[in-house]
Amino acid sequence: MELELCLALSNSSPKFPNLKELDLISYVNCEGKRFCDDNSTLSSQSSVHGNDEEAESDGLFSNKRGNEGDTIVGWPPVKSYRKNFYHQDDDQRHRSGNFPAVENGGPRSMYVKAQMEGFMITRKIDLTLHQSYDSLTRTLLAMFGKGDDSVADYELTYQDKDGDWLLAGDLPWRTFMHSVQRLRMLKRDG
Amino acid sequence: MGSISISKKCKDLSYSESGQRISSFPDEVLENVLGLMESHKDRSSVSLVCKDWYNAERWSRTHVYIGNCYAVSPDIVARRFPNIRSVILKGKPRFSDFNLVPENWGADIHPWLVCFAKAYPFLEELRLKRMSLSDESLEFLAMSFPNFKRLSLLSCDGFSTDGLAAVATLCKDLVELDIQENGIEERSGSWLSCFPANFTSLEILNFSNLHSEVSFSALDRLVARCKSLKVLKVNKNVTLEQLHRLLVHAPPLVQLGTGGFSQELQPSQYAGLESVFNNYRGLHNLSGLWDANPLYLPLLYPACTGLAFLNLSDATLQCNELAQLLGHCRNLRRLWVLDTVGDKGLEAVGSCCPLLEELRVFPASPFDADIVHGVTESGFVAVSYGCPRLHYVLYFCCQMTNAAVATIVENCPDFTHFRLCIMNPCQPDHLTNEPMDEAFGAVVKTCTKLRRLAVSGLLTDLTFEYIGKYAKNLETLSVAFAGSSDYGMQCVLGGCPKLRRLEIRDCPFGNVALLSGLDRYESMRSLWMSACNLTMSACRVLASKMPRLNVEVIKDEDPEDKCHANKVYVYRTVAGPRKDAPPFVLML
Repeated sequence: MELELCLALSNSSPKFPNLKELDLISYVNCEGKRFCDDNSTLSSQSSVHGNDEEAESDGLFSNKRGNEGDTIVGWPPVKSYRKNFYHQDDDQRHRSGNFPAVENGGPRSMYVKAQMEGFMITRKIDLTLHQSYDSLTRTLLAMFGKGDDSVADYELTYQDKDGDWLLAGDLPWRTFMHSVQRLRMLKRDG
Repeated sequence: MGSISISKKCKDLSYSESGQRISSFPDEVLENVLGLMESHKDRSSVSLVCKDWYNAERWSRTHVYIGNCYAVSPDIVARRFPNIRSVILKGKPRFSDFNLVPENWGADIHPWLVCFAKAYPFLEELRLKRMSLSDESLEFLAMSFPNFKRLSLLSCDGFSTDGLAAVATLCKDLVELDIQENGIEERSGSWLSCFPANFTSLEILNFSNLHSEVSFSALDRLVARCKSLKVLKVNKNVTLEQLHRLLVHAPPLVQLGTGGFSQELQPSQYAGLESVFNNYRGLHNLSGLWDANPLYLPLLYPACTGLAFLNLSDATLQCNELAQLLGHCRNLRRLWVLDTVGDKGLEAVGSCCPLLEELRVFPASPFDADIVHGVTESGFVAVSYGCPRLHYVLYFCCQMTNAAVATIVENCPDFTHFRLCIMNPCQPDHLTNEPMDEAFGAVVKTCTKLRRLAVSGLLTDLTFEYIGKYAKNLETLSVAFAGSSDYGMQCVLGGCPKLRRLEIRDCPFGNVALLSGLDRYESMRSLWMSACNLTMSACRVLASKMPRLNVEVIKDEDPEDKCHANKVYVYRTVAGPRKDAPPFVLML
């Protein structure tokens, strides 16, 4: 959604009568990308003390980007140890070094998204807690409220690094762990 | 809390600074009386009365709290307080938790340890937050203090599990080992096996945030022989079956952090756990529950009756699972959950936990756009109706409205800590599209006891006008992506008399605002401003006019830019500019 705050034209911003200063923000998309339309207003603001060097500000809010361009460093303000739980998903976005190298070696958690046919909610499961397809399948069933007796009714599929959906069970467990991106439990036919 | 009785000459008459005669207590009596005082604020006041009281206070003080390790030097502390047994020390600015402070910035514990080893050989307790410590420092600690009993490390970094091994091996009388949320290099889990076979003094053990697996048999034996153990928080590698064994061997615990909670259980194992938890009615705190399998949550129900604090922030529970669990937690005072529980889960909180005082809702997937969960304003409102005693909230949400916040504070006027994070920066009220100014206006007008505030959403200077005008007890303010101009920050600096910590990022506050607070900063612990509109010259002006402040500029990006000051950290100090600043920190 777009939101514009403009100074001069009263018909653009009747809701902000208290804006005292020059301020142009253009809000581009929901991910929080923003840039300043007019980069001169703030430099005049900050040069009130005459001896200041020209503070050429690039924008009202400096662009703090990870390499992937979508995220802001340190936002939302969630502590590093919490973010590391979602290592699997955010690895792409945060490899640029927004995080210090926190943990070296040792099994980390490896959360992947898991869906079950017929359920809207997507859950997450930590693969490092399992050593077999059987254990994984049973836990998934339990997460979606199905008992062990449903094992025969569902089959486990997964999406690999190339984006293909495959039936789980053919690869050795460790190889599977390295290639799985998402899981989906599908109802068996017949 | 012992006070040191020192034989000093009894004075016949004692005069205060202004020449007035005050009663002549012998020093020993004064020290004994003052020795009973625990609050460090009271002690600070007492030390200002007169020289006798200053001396009695400093001799009788056994515990010191240092909120900023650079505000004072180890030598100054050691000279003033000769008899310290317990130290709390905090280091890096809080925004270092969110990766805004580069590594190797400072806050090294080692100079403190070296000083304390000489001045306080009988040191018993060290509680560190956001400090850097190496394995060598931990080993030095373990060797230098024969009476050492309590070590708590929160959000620290620089060490590895080898350092923990040194502590386990050498601290013969260790009572507490609490390792939380640290940037620790995990070489192995063998540190736990280093507690000697005759070591039995442990009362508190928390290694829940460590990832490497410890030897279960070592843990089991440790738990079995430490008969005074009250707090045990294990990491998620500990399975349910192992937890069962631990609980059978352990003395009755007051705080429990389980390991993983999703191992498949045979019926006999389930029954075993069931009977163990049935006997656990004295539990106050419960946490852990990684990957909690909802089928196993009923195991916990009997242990929940007396529960005061439930930390579910590692368990991805859905609303129904939470609702059922909370039905057994009527006495709950503090609850931490993930936003996977949704607004419906929070409705259950409102209906089940009338005594709730603290609620923290963390985002399960803060960067994930395609998972549809999260909480909105309606969950928070529901809690406020059911929990009138709520005074501490940390709430990560995807949307909020001014009206909802107004309702919330009307229901719960006693907020002391109000930390609202609307996760999309600059997001307005989602119903009216207006800024969220009125929401925070309502908070500061209604909650007169407010001490800590974190704001978010689309905010203009009006929010800060309200804060400056009404938040008379505010001590900590966190601001991000907010405000319209210098005026906003000026309102806060001109208005909040008790402000101690001000942390700002990505706001349009510039040099005028910074310099308007010239006479405020010495009454504050610290100011952090990053990605605002500050220039080096303004920072130099601040530094030159206020010699008792340290003005640090962190230059970790864009070395070509010589005039912007992108990260500025200002704090009062009696220790002068620090000598350990790395090359990317400019001390002005």
